[in-house]
Amino acid sequence: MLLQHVAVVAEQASGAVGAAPNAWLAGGIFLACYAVVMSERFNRANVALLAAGLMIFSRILTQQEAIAGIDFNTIGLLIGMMLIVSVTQQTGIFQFLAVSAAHRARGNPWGILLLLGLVTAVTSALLDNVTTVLLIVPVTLAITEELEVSPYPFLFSQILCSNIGGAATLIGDPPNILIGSQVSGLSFADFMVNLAPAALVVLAATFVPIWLVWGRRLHASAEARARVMAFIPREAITDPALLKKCLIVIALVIIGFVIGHGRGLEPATVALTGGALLMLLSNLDRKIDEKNERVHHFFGHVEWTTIFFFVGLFIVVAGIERAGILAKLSALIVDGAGGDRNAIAYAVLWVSAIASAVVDNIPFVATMIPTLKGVVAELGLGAEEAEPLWWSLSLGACLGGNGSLIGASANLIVAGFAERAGQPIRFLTFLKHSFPLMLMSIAICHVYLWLRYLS
Amino acid sequence: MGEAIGILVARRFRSVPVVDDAGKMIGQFGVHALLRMMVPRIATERLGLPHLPFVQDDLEDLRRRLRRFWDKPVGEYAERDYFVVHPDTPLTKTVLSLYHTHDNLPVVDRKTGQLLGIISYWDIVQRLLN
Repeated sequence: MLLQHVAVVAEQASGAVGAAPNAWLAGGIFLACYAVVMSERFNRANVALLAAGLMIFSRILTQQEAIAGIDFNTIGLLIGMMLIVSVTQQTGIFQFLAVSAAHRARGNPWGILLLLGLVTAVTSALLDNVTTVLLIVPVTLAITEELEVSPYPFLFSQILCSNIGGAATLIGDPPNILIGSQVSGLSFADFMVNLAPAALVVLAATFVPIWLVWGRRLHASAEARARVMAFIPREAITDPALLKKCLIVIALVIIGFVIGHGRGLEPATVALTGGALLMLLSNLDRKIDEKNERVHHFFGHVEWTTIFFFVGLFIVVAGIERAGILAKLSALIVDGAGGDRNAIAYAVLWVSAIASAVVDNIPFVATMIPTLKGVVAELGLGAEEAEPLWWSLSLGACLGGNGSLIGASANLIVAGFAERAGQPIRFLTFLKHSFPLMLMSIAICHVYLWLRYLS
Repeated sequence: MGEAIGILVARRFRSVPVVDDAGKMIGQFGVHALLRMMVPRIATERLGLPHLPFVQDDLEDLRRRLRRFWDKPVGEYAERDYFVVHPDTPLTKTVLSLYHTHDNLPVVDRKTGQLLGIISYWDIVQRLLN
């Protein structure tokens, strides 16, 4: 749908915008980039960087304009959080949380499913979703093997919980990082206050069908439960001294996110400073060679392909913006909705959700942000009046990721684990279960937006 | 599986070749796979939990895990990634393969994949001494 719009708009822009004769070319590069990324036949960072290069080589953008198009707040925030995670995961805290959850549930499978889902949601709200599932899913598989129950409902619920939890904060999911970094005036606290309540309601509602379909039939023998109860959570903590340092720095970073806004401290500054401080603290009593080696190791854990995917994407989106395509797309949206902000907010919610279930939500949101900025300008909305549009985009894009197995990177990571564990998750089986739940969550958000902002 | 484990233990082999009905080599089963069956599966998977510090197993837990595989056909759990030599493989290359694998090597017909025999480092050392 977005692709059709871009094609229509490129046609209009090439004729109507005299100053932007490259609209066709820019639209073509953008569409080709989008299509190849969607095909999943090439590495997405590779494709985005090549498309970014083409935007410059074809003189749609100068190199300076391309560099200016990269949002270094997003890039810095991602790298900073990845560094913090890289150090923190060495402590075993995430295994500790998962094993403690199993203990707290006294080995009861449904209780474990519920608590592991909550751990996943909370962790996803603070870390990115891929990292969260990489840390929680292996422990889940160890637990379900001991319980001798199918891991599918556990993994299914964790996929959903990671995307729901990620929707709750500015740093929880790439769409929110993009929105929080690129839309001035939206703070960490604004995301919490406006999105966390919706995420909480969706989370609670999601567990109802999961209980009806799987939870009430989950049983484990007394012997199997005893085996899980024999796990010793505190043994999972491999470096208690480092854990203390991590918890202190993470607390400082979160405080920095909350109070930094309005004081000129963007999330990127806070996260990168936190990452640097934590690496320094984790190395205090080591020799310089070892310090160098460990810092090298921590930087090695930064997902550079994701970072360069963002860099390429920002330049590609800057290209179609420069060519006047996004301005026309904004005008088209405003015209189509008859200038009604509420209609646009609902449309953004549903279209983002459906689109994010079938395409990568990062390029979608990266394209929608400048488009919606144009809509806000066309409608002459103030920052506060525009907020519901951003919350619609965030909730739609984050929760839409639950619509299918390819809806979010975390989903595919979990599927990979399931495959290796000998319990593959089939695309259609997952779709049958996840798509209705995703639609339910978007319906809840629709009502939430109506009650809180649009009634 | 129980029979294959019996052969490994009785003969103290590190591994044995697994063949299909026609005698074609399809994999290798050895102590590496045997040890893997005794621990939770996620401990040996890529991106899994290599240490499992919170798991406190006793001998009965290891036995219980191993028992799950006892009646399974060994072909299902044979490792597919293994070294072989052929009758015409140069001796130096064979010695280097023995050096890298620390294990006996299956000798396989290059064309048909038939298992022809097994060569051990002792075979070579004994021939040298004689």
